[in-house]
Amino acid sequence: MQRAVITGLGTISALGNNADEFWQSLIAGRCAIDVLPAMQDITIGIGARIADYDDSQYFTREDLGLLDRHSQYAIIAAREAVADAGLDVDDIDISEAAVILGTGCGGKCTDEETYDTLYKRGRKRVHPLTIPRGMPSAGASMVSKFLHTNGPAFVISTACASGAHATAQAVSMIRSGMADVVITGGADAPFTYGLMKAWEALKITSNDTCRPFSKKRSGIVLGEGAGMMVIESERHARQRGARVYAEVSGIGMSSDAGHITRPDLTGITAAMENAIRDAGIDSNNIDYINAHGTGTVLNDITETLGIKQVFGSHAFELAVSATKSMHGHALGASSAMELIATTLALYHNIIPPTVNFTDPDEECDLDYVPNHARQAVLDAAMSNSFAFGGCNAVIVLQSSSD
Amino acid sequence: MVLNKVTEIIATATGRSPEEITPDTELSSLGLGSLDTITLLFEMEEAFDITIPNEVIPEISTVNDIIEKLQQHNGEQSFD
Repeated sequence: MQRAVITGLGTISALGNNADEFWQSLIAGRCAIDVLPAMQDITIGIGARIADYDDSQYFTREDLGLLDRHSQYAIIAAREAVADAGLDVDDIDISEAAVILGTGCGGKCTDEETYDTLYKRGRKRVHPLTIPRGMPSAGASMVSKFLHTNGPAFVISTACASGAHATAQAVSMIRSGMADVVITGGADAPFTYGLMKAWEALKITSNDTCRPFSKKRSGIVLGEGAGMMVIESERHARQRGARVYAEVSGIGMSSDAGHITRPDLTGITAAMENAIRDAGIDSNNIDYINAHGTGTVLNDITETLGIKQVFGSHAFELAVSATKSMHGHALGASSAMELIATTLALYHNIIPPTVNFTDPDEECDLDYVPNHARQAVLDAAMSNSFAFGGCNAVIVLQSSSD
Repeated sequence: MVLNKVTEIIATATGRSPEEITPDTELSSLGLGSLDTITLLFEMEEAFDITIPNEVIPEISTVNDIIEKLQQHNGEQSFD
C-alpha cells in the first residue's frame, strides 16, 4: 500500500490570498470576520469575506464566462498548490493527476443569478453557459481543465465535511495505486442573497463573532474561499525529491443516521476512532486537534465530550483549537482550510489559536489554545469535520521523517 | 449605430481591436466556436434588450448576419 503525503498547499480566504498569508494570519491570531456590506433585508451582519476580490486579476473575461465563483476559488488555490509542490514545471508531467474537489454549495452563485434573471427580472433567456458553470461537478471539471490534468475528476459533496471527505477519497486513491498525484480540497462561495436567507432562517449564525468553546459563543459565522492540496504517493514524492509537509496517515468516516443538524456523540467518536485506528497509532500520540469548532452551543459541547470519550485522560494533555474563529465557516472549503492549518502546524511546530475566546464554559474544559498561537513539538495531529446531515470525516496527519 | 455597438461587443468578447471587425467578418475567423457564438448572441440580446429566436441562430455566420437578425427581431424598437 502506498503512503499518502502532502507536498503542495494553496488557499484563498478572508485570511489571505495564498497559503503563506493564511498561515501568518493564523499564527498572529487575526480574526478575518468583519461587518458585511448591507444586502437587502438580510439580518446576518458579519462574515469572513475575501476582501477586494477581483476576478480579473486571475482570469480572462472569456474564462469567467465558464466559472462560478466557487470554481474560481478552487482554481486559484489549486494553481498555488501545484506550484508549491513544484509540479508546475515543464519536465514534470501531471497529466494523469486526479482532481477530487469537495464543495457544499457547488454552483449556487450561478443558480441564483439564473433565478434572478428569470423570476425577478422577468427575462426569457439565461446565460448560455448556465449549465456547465452551475452544475454541482463544475468545480472539479474546471480545475482539471485549467490545470490540464486528465486523471479522474469529480466532486464530493458532504456539506461542511466536503473537503475532508475529498481528502479521504484522495488518500484512498493513492493507497490503492489508482493515482500518484491528486489535487484535492474544498471550495465554496456562499455569500449570495438566497443562501444568506437560508442560513438566516436556520437561526444558528452569530451577529457577535465566532467564539468556539467560549461561554458566550452564539453561533457560526460564514466564510468563503478554497483550500487545495497536492497529495502524492510517498514513492512519487521521494523520486522527484519533493518537499513533504506531512503524511496523511489516517482517515476515519461515519454517519450519524439521526438528527439532520444536531451533532451526535456516537457518530463523531466513531469517526475519530476510525481515523486513529487507520493511522495505526495510539490515541496518546495525537498532540493537536484542529476541531470542527463551529462556535454553536451544541457542537462545541458534543465535540468536547467526544474528544474526552476517545482520548480519556489524554484529552486534557493535547491541544485543541478552532481556526473557524479566524477564517469563518467556509462550509465545504472549511475542512480543507483546516487541514492546511493542521499541516502547517505540524510542519512549523506551532499551534494556531482559538481566537475571540473570552469566558470559559464548564462544559468545554479542554485546552483550546485561547487567543495566542503556541510553539509545541508536534508529531501527530487530527482534523475534525462533522457536517450537517451527520456526515463525519476525520483526518490524521503525522510529521514527515525528512 | 448598430454596427458600432455590435462591433464593440464582439471586440470586447474576442479581445480584438474594432478595426479588425467588418460586416463581412466571419465569426469563425475570430476564433468563435458554436458555444462562443451563442454566448455572444446572448450578450447582444442583453445589450439590445431583444430576443433572437433559436431557430434562426444556425443562419448566423458573419457580423452582418448578427445585425440583420437584430433588426428583424427588434419589433417596434428603434436602434438609432
